[in-house]
Amino acid sequence: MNFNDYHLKENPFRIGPPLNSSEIVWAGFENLKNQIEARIKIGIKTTPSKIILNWGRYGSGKTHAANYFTKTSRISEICGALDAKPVKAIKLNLPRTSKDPVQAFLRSFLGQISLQKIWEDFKSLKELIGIEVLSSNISALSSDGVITEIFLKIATTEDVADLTALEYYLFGDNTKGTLHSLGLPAGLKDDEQVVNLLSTYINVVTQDSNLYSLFLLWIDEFEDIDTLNKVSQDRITTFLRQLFDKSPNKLNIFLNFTPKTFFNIEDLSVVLGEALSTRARLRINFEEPTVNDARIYILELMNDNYYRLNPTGNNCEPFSDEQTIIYVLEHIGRLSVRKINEVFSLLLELGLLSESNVIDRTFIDANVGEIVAWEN
Amino acid sequence: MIAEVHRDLWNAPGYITAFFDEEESAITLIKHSQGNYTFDLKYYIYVPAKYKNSVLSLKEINSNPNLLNEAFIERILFSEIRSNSQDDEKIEVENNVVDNVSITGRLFKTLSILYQITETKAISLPYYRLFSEVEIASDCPPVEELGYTVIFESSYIALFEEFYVRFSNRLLDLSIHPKIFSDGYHDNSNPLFFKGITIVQSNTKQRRLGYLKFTLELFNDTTYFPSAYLSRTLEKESIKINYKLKEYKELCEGDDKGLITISKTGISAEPYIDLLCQLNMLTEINKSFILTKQVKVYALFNKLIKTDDTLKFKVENTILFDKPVIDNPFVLNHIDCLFLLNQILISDSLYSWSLLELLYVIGKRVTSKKLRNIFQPYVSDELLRIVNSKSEISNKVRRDATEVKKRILSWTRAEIYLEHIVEPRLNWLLDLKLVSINDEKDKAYNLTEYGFRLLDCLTGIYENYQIKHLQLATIFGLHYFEIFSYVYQINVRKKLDIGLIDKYLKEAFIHFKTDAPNRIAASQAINFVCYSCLLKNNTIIEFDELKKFLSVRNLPQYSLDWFQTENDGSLSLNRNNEL
Repeated sequence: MNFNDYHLKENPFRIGPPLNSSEIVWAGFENLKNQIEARIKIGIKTTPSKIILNWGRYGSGKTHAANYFTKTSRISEICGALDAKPVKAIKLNLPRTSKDPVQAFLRSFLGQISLQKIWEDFKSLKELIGIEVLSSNISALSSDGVITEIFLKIATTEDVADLTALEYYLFGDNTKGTLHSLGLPAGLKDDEQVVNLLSTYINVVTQDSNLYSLFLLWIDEFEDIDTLNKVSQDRITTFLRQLFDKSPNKLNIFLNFTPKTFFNIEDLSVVLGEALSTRARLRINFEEPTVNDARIYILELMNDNYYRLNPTGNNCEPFSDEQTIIYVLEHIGRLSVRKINEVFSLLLELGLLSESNVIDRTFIDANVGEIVAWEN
Repeated sequence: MIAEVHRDLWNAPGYITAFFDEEESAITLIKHSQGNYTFDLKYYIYVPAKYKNSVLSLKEINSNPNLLNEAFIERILFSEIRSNSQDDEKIEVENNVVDNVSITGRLFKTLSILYQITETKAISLPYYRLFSEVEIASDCPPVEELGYTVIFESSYIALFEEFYVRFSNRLLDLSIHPKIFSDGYHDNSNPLFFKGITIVQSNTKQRRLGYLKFTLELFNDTTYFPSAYLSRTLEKESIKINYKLKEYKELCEGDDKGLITISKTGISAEPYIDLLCQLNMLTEINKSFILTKQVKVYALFNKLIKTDDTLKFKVENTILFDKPVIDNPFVLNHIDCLFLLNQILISDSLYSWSLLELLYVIGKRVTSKKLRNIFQPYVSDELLRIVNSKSEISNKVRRDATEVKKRILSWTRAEIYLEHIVEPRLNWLLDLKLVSINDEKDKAYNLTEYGFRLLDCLTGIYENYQIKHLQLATIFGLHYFEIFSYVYQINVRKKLDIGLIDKYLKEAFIHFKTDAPNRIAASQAINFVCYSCLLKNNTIIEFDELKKFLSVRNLPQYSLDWFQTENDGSLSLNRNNEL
């Protein structure tokens, strides 16, 4: 027996992220989705930069939300509906246990937005506004001579292959040869210069919404800042503060937080410091789902086009009915999306293992011992 | 009147010296082996009158020591009345009965007498330990016997007769009554039960706890102070209260040492800021000082006193000493003591607890000098007791204890170094009203009644676990508020009052709000409820008790997530559940 017998293409309750990240499904949790999308729409349509804090317990779906909004086509759909230019969205994890967290951050960033992509963006911009406007934008929006030079070089280079030396430079190569051929001083080691680099890029590509209507930076697992030593923690928060200051327009930073408490402080918002917290008044709460929320989630997920195979009309399949689903949900203690996925994934697999055509209450009662989260 | 019996009653070779006292009707057996004498109270035998006829009369033994044979001694040992401290209630000493006197009570009395005898000879206190043995009999449940052993060097033996005389005369005059709390203690085979040794690295300038309270007030108008700035601000602000320091000494039986003055670099206030950090009251983030989550509950109550009438009334009417409370930050009220006593004992248990014991052992008129003379070897012995302990403590803790012991024994100019340890702590205890000070130039300290009661509690812990320090934080989670009320004699009732819990949790969500929506730090919520119940309603709810109550969702609108590694959690307020 396999999932097809349940009219499913595969196990919808996957526990890890999908192989093809563009195919992440959002099921249920309509209210939450609307909240996030509302923020994105405001970001697209308004100018000032914002920081939004996403709070949720472990397993509440924060990383999933980050992946969904940065990797699938959902955001382009939103832009399309608003008739706005596309959004540039990337997701990064906070660097942990790194000797130089800001450099680690830069590398992560460049890993997602490579030099090639920057060059392509500038090429598009050149076509849209012309090289002269672009160059003057770059000079105006950068507060650092070296950074201006770097970007001008990228903007004026016709062939991306010529940028190899620059690529090495960005990744920290300071050998005489590279520096000489580029005509640039040794740099990009200073935290402030990294900020300048990133903010200039963001400012240039979002200027007047010529190319992008919004730059969305989603930082996941912010609570890992706790694994850094104090000096590094201060550096990261200073870095974020400066990035925000130097990109006053069109930058939205979503920070994923778990409300964990730490040795001397209540939660991580304290670490952000006054300057950032006063700008991070916006919060999205990834709340604990009720049984009803969970039921809707399960049904939508199983019946999504991506998972349902040849729908038969029984949208609870392979479960006998909704009551069975509710029965399980009421007996696994406090609900989190992760827990729901684990339990239901297991139930499907057990069903296949014992070759049951349907998963009903009898089946569940017989297999209660396998479900770790079960509470009577 | 000494008879020697060559008899191997213990499991080691040696001989036993028995002292007889006709009047006291008691036999004391001292084991002697390899130059050390072991006085084991277990073998201090009180022979009750009814047995006198069935054994050889003591006079006969005195004249014919060979009669003191194995059978005789075993018979006596069987009929010995031993103390058994397994009762739930507080242990009282009744004057006419030797039994029911706690082992640790006797232990400390023994030490006290030994100190008096040896004081002029400047010998340090002997090493002691508690032990427990389980006696298994076929027809009754196993009985746990507690005893103590004091091991002292042979140079003592010459003094022993004097010791013996004083000891038996004074046995019933005990001042420590170890308090064992009801409902027993938790399972101490859990390694988390015993945490590590905690020490505050103190400085002789850190004398007045009032300055700590005063510094917290600076944070009323701002949430943070840049690190370079706090020290100088504190100096400037403290000018306003410095005259109150004199008042504290003259009118309130306090002391005026530890003054903060204005300096160019802020160095005068630095020691207090350092102490605040070590006591986890301040922490540095982004190069600024902020209040820690631990201290915020206390800081809040300091503010609420001004606006909350119930609280104000309670503070003004809880008399901690005979003079009325006046507007002086150095005179700590019971809310200050509630927080600071806990914070000091768990951050600094090794030195503070030891100091309290030494204050008792030395007796009246303890000068700082007397304390300094025996402090170093005593603390080193404390660490040795931890290393040798039979309790379930991890090897890491034993290793740490060995390290600290090595460090302590290697102090080269101990008498100078000890000024930085003993002086500040004496003053902290004074500010907390656990000791009192005399009025003379030659400062001498006595334990106050509160100090004795604290010692009752600490000794009770020692008696129950045969080890000190390591489990204090855990015990406080279970019994701190009860201990506090016992020490400061505050009338309380113990009740898990759901109405009060709900009421105070709602308030907590307002006071401790952060950027996390509908969530606050669990420790702040729980402490706020416990403090409020005690201070406003004279009701005790312990921290762990409330934590357990919330974990099993007794109040469905609140959910508790606990993070074991952080020793804290987050408490969420649920939106209304729909189905």
